[in-house]
Amino acid sequence: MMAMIELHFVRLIRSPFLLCVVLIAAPVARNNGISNALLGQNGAAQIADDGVADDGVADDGVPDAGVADDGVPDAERVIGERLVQTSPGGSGEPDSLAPFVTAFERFGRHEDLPAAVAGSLLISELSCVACHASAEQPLQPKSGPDLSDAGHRLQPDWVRDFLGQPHQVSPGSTMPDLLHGLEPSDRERVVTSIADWLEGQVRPLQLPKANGISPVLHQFWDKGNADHGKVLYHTIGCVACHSADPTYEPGTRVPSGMDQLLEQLDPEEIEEMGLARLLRSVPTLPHFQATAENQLVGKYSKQALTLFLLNPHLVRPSGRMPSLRLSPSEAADLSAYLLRSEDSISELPVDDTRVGGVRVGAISQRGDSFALQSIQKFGCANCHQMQNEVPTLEARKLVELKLNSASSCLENPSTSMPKYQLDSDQLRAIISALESLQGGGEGAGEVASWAAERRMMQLNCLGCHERLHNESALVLGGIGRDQKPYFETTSKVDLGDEGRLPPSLTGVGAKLTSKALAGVFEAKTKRHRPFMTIRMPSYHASVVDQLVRHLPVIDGAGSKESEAVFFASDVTDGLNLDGLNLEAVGRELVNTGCVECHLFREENLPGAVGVDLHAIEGRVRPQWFLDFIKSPGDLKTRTRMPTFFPDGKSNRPDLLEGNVQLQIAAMWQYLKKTDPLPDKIQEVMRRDFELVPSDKPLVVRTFMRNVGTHAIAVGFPQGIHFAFDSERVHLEESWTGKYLDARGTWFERFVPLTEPLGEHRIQLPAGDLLAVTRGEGSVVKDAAKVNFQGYRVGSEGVPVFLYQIGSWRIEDRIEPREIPEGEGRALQRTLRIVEDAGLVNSVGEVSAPETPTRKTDHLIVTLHRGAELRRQSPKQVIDQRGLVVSVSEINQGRQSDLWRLIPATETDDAVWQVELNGHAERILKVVYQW
Amino acid sequence: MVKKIAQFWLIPWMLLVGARAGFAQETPTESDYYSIVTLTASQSPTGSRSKHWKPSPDGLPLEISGMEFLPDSRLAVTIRKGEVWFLDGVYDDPVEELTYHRFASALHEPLGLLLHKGDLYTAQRSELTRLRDVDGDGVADEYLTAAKGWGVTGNYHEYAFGPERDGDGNLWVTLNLGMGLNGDQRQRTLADAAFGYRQGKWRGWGMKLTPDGDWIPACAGMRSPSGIGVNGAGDAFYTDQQGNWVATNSLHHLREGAFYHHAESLASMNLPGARVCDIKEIPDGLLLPDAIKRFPELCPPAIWFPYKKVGQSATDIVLDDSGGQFGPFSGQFFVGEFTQAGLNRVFLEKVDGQYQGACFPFRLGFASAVLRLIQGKDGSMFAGLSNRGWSSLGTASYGLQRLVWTGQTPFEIKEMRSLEDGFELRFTRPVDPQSAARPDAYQMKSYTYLYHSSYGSDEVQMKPLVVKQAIVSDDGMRVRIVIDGLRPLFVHELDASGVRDRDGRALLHPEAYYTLNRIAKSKGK
Repeated sequence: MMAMIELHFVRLIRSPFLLCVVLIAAPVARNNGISNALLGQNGAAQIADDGVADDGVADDGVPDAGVADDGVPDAERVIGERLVQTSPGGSGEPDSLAPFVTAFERFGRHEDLPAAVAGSLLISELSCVACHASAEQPLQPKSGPDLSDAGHRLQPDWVRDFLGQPHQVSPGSTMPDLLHGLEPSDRERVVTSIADWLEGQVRPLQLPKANGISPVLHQFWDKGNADHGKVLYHTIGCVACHSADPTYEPGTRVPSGMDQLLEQLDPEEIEEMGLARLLRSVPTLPHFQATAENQLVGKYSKQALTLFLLNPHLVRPSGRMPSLRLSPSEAADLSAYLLRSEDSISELPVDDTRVGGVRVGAISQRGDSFALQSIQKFGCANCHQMQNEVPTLEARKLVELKLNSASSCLENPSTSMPKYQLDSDQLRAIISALESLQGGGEGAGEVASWAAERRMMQLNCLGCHERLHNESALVLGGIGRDQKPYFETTSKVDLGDEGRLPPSLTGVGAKLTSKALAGVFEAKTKRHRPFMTIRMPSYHASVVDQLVRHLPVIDGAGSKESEAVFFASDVTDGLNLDGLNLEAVGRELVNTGCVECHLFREENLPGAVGVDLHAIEGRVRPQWFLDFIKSPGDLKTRTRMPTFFPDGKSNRPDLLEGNVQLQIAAMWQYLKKTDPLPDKIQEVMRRDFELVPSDKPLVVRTFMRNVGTHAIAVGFPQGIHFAFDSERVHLEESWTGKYLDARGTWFERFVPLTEPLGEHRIQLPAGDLLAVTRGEGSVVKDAAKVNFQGYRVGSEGVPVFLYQIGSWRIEDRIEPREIPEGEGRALQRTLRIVEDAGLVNSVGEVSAPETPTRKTDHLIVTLHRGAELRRQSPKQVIDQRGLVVSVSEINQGRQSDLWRLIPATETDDAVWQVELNGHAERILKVVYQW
Repeated sequence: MVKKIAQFWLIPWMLLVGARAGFAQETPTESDYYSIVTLTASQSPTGSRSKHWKPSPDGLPLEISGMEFLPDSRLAVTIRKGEVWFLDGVYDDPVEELTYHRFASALHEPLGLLLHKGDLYTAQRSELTRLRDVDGDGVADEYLTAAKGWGVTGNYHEYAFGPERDGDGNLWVTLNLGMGLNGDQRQRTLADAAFGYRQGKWRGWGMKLTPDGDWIPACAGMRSPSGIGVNGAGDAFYTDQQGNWVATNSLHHLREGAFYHHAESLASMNLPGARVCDIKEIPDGLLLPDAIKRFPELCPPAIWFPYKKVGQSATDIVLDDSGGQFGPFSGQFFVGEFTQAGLNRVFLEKVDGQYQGACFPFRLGFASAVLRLIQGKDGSMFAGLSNRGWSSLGTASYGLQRLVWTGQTPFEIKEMRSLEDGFELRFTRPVDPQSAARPDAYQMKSYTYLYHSSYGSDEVQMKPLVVKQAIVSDDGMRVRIVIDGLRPLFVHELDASGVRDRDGRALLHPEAYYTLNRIAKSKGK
């Protein structure tokens, strides 16, 4: 008998029109039991009363073919109610008081889903298993909000109203009416006591952390900007689930590709092509509507709503309302928009005389204990977390529920049963699911094939993403047609739908690595598609754990994380892979294609905004990469990603013998590290930040690796550059070719050490250029310290360094010197030495250089220094590295100058120096050639 | 070298700012009294803390780090990439066309600009530099070292701020401490530093260049002293930012021999010339009043800015020297706020010869972090913006905005003065005597902070205070509130939400935070 009933049932559900016929014939049908099983009149899905019952309706005691509490015979009710509400093809129109489960409304009412699947969705979303235990993972209850901080969160008046009439106050709420069976006065008493008790459920507020990188205004919930909140509300994703405000003007007027197609077809064609679903508007949650102002004003304070939006998981651990990764000020802006009313309040006064819901002081002790009794009696703790340990109710297990009870939570609930206000579509779906569960058989297998999609419907992933359900070949979900205009590409670049709508999840388990899949949901993961205004919400790991674990299996990823897919033997046959630098080849291939649209380590060509391809192996699986690059359109319909291998052929036959698969492997190899960045990107970076002296020398003060933190780098159009240490007053290093990249110095927070870009780098002679000795008998070395005084921009823009030592003032001009080709490269240094000229510039120094006794002082200029020095001519000395220093001209040279070439000792380098005699102005021209 | 950059490249983000400003509300808001004019604001394509930060592809990267007016009323600015630009057209409203002229380049992250004896002075990472245009072609041709000798290990926190000139003609430069030095940087720290601290020379010190050319390490204990300002009496002040040893943001009087908070600056204590020396012991983990007892050199700030309530990162200090062109707060300080992108206000008085006073929230809503401030000839406040390195509210990464008084006088607590038995409040407009005489119109509490090496401090030893009496002056401009249990070295926080003006309007900002280092002897009137 049972088998037959199930058969009937399945067929009936598939054909609602037939169902109506059967319903009309119900009195007859009931006699052979069909209606009992089908419609669950007598005791179906009933909360067992054990523990609550004082109204005497115990399910076990109710006769199978009974009469409901109100005395109306079952069959009449069936006819009276169902026929009115049901129309052929599914009503598509929910009862306005019926619970609203988004995916059920969108898919379940429209035959997109098998009834048992749709029903199982309702079972989880209506939290049936909170009372009727079941081990079935997918049926685990959504459960209600955590109430342990209700005192901060909810306005007592609203709680009272809501508990009294949940469906009227919050249309579409999945919270059943538990008090419908009470007399008005009893109801009032229970409602008041519970509301009062909830006021005492208070925890310390969890405020966002404020620091130098996290702006948090004091009482930021009061400082939101409603206009900005309105923009956020309509652009970051809220309107995928909640209704939009008709006064908001969406930004995008370009219809998506699919919509354009639909517009070109006539309705019959659309029907034939099975695209009718795409024309339906996507239902949005009714109990909050942005259009109706002030709906939330009576429920929340600004503080409560703002903190909720910042961290919804704290209150709603089910993840049905995810975190939109808001900053505190964004949460305040959204809250200001949603609560835009003069009546909205800042925060709820919290009664801190009560701890954990129990009022301190005797007066209301009685009230509190009555509240606790009621909370227990109505099973509140079955769905809601509270601070107090409240016993839960246990009802009959889900698999043991009788589907033929006259009175149940589904329909005709007795006074002690929750009342859900289900409509007929919902009722049918749930019964179907229960039957499938209890009977196994055909339905069960079908339900199992929906495992991934069902979770995606519970969390409403499909509100934003579409996904192909393999068995039914249906593509479900995606941003609704009416909602699409709200979502844009941030930079207004035209990337088509890919640039503004969330990606398809078809086969996503085979695309993303397990780690990347888990990462998608984590709050700390950087946005992968920052070019979209819509945001991927974050979810608590416990919410998405099943998806993360099962999707790869469901989508057939198998063990295909291995890179071996690139190197199948039929591909590599006849090729010698040894010594191939795949990474280098990959870099070249990437440089010819991918760079045009994609980012690499946040660097990009102008206008390129595609996803960042860096560290590819952490994100996608090799097999997917291979398949996708080979033929992008096969994996992503209407993608803008072009194929680089038309007809399966590479346009670079010169690389890896044109072997497509190996070329893809090479790209993969390169994209792991993307180091160095592709040439084209480097060119752009250079163009932006490489300093190219064109007509005049360029100067940069910076930190340099070999020069220190007081470096002054000077680049010349002639292509010979140098770096000067203004702390030790020393010409440190020279190089040729490219000069410097200034980005680190100009714009990087960590001010990295700059390195010369060019070649032929040489360290110029070490040690002090200048020293003063004093005295004629006993010589005091280093009698004065050299003191840097800045620089002057001299002729042709060449900086002339100014310094002082003792009573000498020195001007030091360093610039390239032209020498015949083939003789290397040379710098020329003109030292103008003036004594007793007075200080050109007063430099503040904590320990000022002492004033020397002039008459007995001598200035020593050290021209060269090295492990080995060799004199090539009287005024030319070469070191072991080949650096030649020559003094090409001495202004007013004197016989009395002392030139010395001191050979190296065990501890000291060899030194070539001149001790200047006399006190007139001197000019030394020193040339460094290498 | 003159670039003309019209305003058409203002990014779409700015539309949002416009929308914000235009949001009509019945209750007056800050923008009804002080409006923000955007001269330029740009958005970086990268986040403010990105390692790969880059400026907007359009226009000059105007990350303003120093500002000074030239005699011809052009605005000279330093930008963080190391240039000095002269901006013309800055007073236009609406902004028609700003012209930019580059005066100097090749500076290493200059963080201040001052016209002094005819030349522009700026502190670079490694020296105080005097810029001279000797040949008069409008471009600097001398970059002369005006003062130097502080350590630069290469750590990025080692900013040098300034200079500012005090009433005696001294130029002040403040040196940020290094933080989290890497191995290479540690090589450049002081050998044999006091207490074994690893810091470069004079890091965390306030340096003073006297008119005679003496360069004096005058005071120590600074952490991130990013703002220097001088009041009407010619006394110089600096702001510091919350962190290790620094309980919350603060404002200090700069003077020789003072030690402020951060112990690591004492690494340089034993160097010749140091004006803070001979400190034997640094207590760690005491309540501020107890720490001062144990460590008498420790100078409490003139102002604590309670965290979040009055900003998260105090920056520049500017005196309203306009004689009323900027509204009713002439003679008071305005302090820039980096993280919250705003301005806060400071009233100072001297009690027992030491500065102390109250701070007040003033204006939020700038497009980015407020790093530099200067007052224009019309009294308006120019705000130089740059959020790079940290984070800030607002929609832009850098730029220049101007805060203009609309001519409407906001109802504000203008001054809060210490009295023997409470405080005297002075208002910008007469109060409604009925509401203002109710003691319960004023909610007060007091708290202090911990002096410790950890990052920041909670408000500790919090205690509510009962206002016993509120006495309104005849003209309604002053209210004396009488309180029991004033505690020296505690912040006294006031919420005067119950006070109304004669039109029944509430205060624009009912909060005031008085740093009560000393209780005045005055009884009030």
